[in-house]
Amino acid sequence: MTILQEIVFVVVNMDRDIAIKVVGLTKYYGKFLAVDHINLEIYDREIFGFLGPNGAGKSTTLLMLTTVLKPSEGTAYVYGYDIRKYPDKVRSLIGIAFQDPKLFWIHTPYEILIWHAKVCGYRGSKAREVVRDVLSMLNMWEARNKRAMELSGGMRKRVEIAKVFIQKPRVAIFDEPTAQIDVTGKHMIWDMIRGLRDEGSTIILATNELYEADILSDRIGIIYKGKIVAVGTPKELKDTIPGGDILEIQVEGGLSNGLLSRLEGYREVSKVELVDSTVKLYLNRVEELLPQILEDLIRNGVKVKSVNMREPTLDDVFMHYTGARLKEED
Amino acid sequence: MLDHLLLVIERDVRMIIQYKLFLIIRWLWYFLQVTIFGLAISYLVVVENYLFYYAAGIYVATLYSTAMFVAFDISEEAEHGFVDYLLSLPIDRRVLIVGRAIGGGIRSFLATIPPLLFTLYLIGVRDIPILIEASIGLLLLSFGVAGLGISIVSFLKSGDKTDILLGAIDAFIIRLSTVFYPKAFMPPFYSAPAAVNPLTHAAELFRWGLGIQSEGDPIFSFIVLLAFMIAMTTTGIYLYERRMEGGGWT
Ligand SMILES: Nc1ncnc2c1ncn2[C@@H]1O[C@H](COP(=O)(O)OP(=O)(O)OP(=O)(O)O)[C@@H](O)[C@H]1O
Ligand SMILES: [Mg+2]
Repeated sequence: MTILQEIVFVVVNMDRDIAIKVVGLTKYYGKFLAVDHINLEIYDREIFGFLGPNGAGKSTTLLMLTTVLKPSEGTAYVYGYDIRKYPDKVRSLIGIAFQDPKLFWIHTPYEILIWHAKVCGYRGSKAREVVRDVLSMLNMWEARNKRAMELSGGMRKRVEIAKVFIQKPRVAIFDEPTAQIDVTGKHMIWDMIRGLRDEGSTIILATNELYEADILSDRIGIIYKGKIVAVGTPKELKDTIPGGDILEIQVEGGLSNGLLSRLEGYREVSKVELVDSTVKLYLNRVEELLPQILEDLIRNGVKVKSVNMREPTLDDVFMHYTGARLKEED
Repeated sequence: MLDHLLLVIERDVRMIIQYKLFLIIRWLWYFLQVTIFGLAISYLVVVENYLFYYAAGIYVATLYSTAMFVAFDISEEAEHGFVDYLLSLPIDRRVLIVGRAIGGGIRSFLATIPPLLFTLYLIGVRDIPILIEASIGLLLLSFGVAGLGISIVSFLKSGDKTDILLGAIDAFIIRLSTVFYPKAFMPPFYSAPAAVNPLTHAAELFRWGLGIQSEGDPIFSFIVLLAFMIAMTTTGIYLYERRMEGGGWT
């Protein structure tokens, strides 16, 4: 960056709402381009879902943000601190639960987390307290004295994410936190992640699970082959698909051509089909338009028998932007 | 900052406990080496009281290889991806390296206490203050060697290459020193590197501390060891900060 760009950046970022600004962040592994000039803004105290299939570059990006990997090009600013110039400062703000649990095989969860708690600034009884609380919340208190190598996959994962809940960093990063975790465990961890956000942390959550991204994220960035292809709230993303919502209205006796073209006239409606006595509309923002459409029909003397609407899924969004599907077809 | 330093040291010191069996074998080896090989060879060589000379020297060699262990730890951690965790912690990288050099040094000192006690028992303690001074010199050597190990592993970034290079250095650094034989008995092209070898200075300082036959000026040796420690720790910090990253090794 030139000095001018840097000044512009500082001024722009006086806006306190931005927690992380990623600028042209790139990583080559040898000649392989794993992360390709990513630009991104993550807001203060949001849960930012980083959604993408295997090998998309999620973990690589997160490792660069935590200064574990060095960027090949570009950089990122964590609360204004350049990850390349002030890595020590950045690490004092960031905590990460890795995708593969990083546990020293011979140590027990208790030993691992006590040491971690002390590194995060807890002393003596405070360290023991926070470790006990977090381990209990994650249902790991009973297994605390097993050796890491004796733990099951899901248990290891729980110990790994316990680190972040102990640390409570300004920016908490979870790389696929609920992979290998059972269903009750998933819900518990989602609640804990929301709680962490409500206590004031900014959360980045890498995942390839549509449902997890959808219900947990305030905003989502879709990453595919090293590039960010779309960013927005789950709803915004779904609304960006032209005619993504489907509205089916069953009426008594069919519709006149005049009424059909009237429906086609709505700006948000991209297609109208009449099959027997059912009108099928492809449109956006169905929940806002529905009352208006119904009113229109009723005022024109149409008898509505039933209404059925379906929103696009994140998978439809993913499909729209990448031409590929995240989820196997059922 | 000091908290972090102590925590890093504590972790490395505790880590050596996991090598229990290795340590016990090492102590046994030391004991047998001195009592059988050292004793036998002392009848054959012309160096006066060679058994004592040898016992002191081989203790320094043991200290050296134990201090080098931190390099294997680091390369192991990198191979298993554990290094990612250490690199992600809210610890200043310089504190991390200095802590590991100190931790690696302290633990090698602790891990070689039984051989040390055996050596003291064998040779006898003449002057405690002098012995303490010499021991501080040995501690400096351990810190320096740990720093050297960190530098090598950060520079090579490969577990296999580290194993090979450390094996080679081990062979040379011990032979090109006065660990096993006095300078007077070396060919000239041996004695020059031996004169600057920190192991030489550690061995001579230790012998001086034990009150047995030694060469050179103990103060000079002490300064060499101090310089070695500072140089190696600085190099370690430099290389680790610039080269170490997570995400997979060869
Ligand atoms: N250490 C490495 N050396 C070489 N290539 C790597 C390395 N780590 C990752 N890659 C490659 O970089 C790309 C991105 O990998 P990354 O781990 O960031 O993906 P991801 O989105 O986290 O995937 P997943 O959902 O499987 O965790 C992949 O093609 C991967 O093969
Ligand atoms: Mg990943």
